[in-house]
Amino acid sequence: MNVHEAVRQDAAPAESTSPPAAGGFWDFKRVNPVRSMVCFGLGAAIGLGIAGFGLFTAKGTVTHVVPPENVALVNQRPILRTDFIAQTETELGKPFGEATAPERLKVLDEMLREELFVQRGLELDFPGTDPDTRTALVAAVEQQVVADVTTHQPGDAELQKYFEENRANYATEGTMALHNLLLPKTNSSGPDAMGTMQQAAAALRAHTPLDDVVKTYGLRELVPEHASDEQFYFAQRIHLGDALYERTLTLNDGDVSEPVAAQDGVHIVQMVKNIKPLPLTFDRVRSQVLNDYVMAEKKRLEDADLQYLRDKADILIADDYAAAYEKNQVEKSAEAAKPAESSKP
Amino acid sequence: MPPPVAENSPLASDLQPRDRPRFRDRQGWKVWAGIGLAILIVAGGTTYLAGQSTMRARLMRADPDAVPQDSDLNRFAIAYAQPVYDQYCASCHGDHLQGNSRDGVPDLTHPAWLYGEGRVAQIEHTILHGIRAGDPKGWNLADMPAFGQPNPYKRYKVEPLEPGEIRDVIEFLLVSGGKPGDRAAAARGSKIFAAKGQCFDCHSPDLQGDAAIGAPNLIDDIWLYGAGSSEDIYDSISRGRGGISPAFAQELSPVTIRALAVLVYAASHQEAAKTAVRSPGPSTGTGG
Repeated sequence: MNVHEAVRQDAAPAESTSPPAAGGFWDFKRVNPVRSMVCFGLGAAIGLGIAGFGLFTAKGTVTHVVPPENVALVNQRPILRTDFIAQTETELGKPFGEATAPERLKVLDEMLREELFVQRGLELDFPGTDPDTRTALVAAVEQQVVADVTTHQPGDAELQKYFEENRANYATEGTMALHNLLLPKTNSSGPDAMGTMQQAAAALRAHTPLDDVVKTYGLRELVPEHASDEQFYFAQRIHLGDALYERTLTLNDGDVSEPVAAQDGVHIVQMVKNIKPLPLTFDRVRSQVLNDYVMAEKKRLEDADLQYLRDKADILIADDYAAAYEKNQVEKSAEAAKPAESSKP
Repeated sequence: MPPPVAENSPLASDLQPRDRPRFRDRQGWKVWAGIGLAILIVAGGTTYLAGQSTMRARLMRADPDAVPQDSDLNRFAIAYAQPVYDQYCASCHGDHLQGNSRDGVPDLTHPAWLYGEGRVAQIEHTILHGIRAGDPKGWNLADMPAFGQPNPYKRYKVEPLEPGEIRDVIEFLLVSGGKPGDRAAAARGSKIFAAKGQCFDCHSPDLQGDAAIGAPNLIDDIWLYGAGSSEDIYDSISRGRGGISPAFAQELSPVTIRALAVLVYAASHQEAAKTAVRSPGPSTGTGG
């Protein structure tokens, strides 16, 4: 018998048809059917446990345990502890810690009552009928848009871009101090009046004292009531009227305008001091840019929300209004698109 | 002499001596060690999570204003809140809660507060519902009108001020705050403060502000915007102010918000801040 035959003879019992004897439960060297079944069962139990935990603790599922962040559940709707604390402090006018147990229970009872009534109100469809509820709902939805915007703070690059696109909004308000002289219609009118005012303007340009010019040409200086000499541009626009204001904008200190005819007569303006609006740097107005950016984003999101709601809603308008309404909507869309196009760099 | 057996022969392993342990036998202790380690990790993790859960529940059930006095809860809350602060708040309030007076972001390490007195419950309310953030429960009662604009205030009618009137009001504020200024202009400014500007309505007749609506004290030399120069004050009066703090009620969990409130409270209370905040920054702005 050679070595190969000896080996085959030794190996033969191991390859026999009878299955190997099963090992003990903890003998990991051998297969153990009981252990296999136990592991299988254990895995299944853990899986079911996880699934059950997820199922019974997910939002919207019924629970009989009040989560720590809530002080109560009313038909599974939570009353937050933070709301409870705020309500207690508001009602009692003192810190929550100083409220006695009966005081806290009273507030809690009131909040439960409120929640029950709110739920009843929803059952009765008050949002569909009560004007105050509807107004509050509209305001709340509008405000929610701001909440979405504010929690995502824009970076400097975004703000800088917005600033560059709206540079005109970020300048100092210009101020003017001026003399507004009027030749009333009752004194003179027509070409004579224009001629007189041109002479008066020439005299002022020749540094004739104002009082002398007023007396010589029969003029009246218009001074707004309760106003000091220096006024913001917007205030001067109101005092002067659009036509005269446009003429004064280009005047430098000491300049005198050409006569301008108005309903009450002919005006000339002598500019005392014109401080023109100066562009502000991004750094100086960053906080304002941020606020404006948020408001612009709010408007954009509001419009987008409304458009989305319109698109998914089934809106039917009566025949006598349908055509006009549609036309109005098209015009509004075109109007809304205009500033967006013009603001592009 | 028997012929050599090739190593890759299927019979090679059978030629090994019977008493030499096979691979599975040799690795047995490692299997046991692995199982033990896994059990330890699972047990440790479960214990840790259970402990965290218990602390979170304790934090939520506690009176918020009492948390800073409970050292365990205080430490837990601050550790819990720090990464959240870094992620959500630091971009505006700074890494060390120091704020930014250029943008009107309050210094949270300062003991002065614009809204409320800086109690944990009040800070928590502000984080939850924000300031002018569109949350109906948030702080949203007033803005600073832009008195240098044609329509200074959106909420109701307020007359614009003239440039000279604004300068007079600034003199009034500076003189009232104990700084040098033009007393005649300050006298005129006080009348504007009390009448045409209606400033007293929010800032109170004694200029000490009103924490119930977030109207700042004007004579404590703490400035939310800028450093209190005439130019900074002119900007505030002429262009108006109305800073925004986001409402995190929908963004963060209630326990996270409470923990953040504890962190901010700790930072604004010097002794606690020394241990609470990693390294407090300079106190240069206005407490929120």
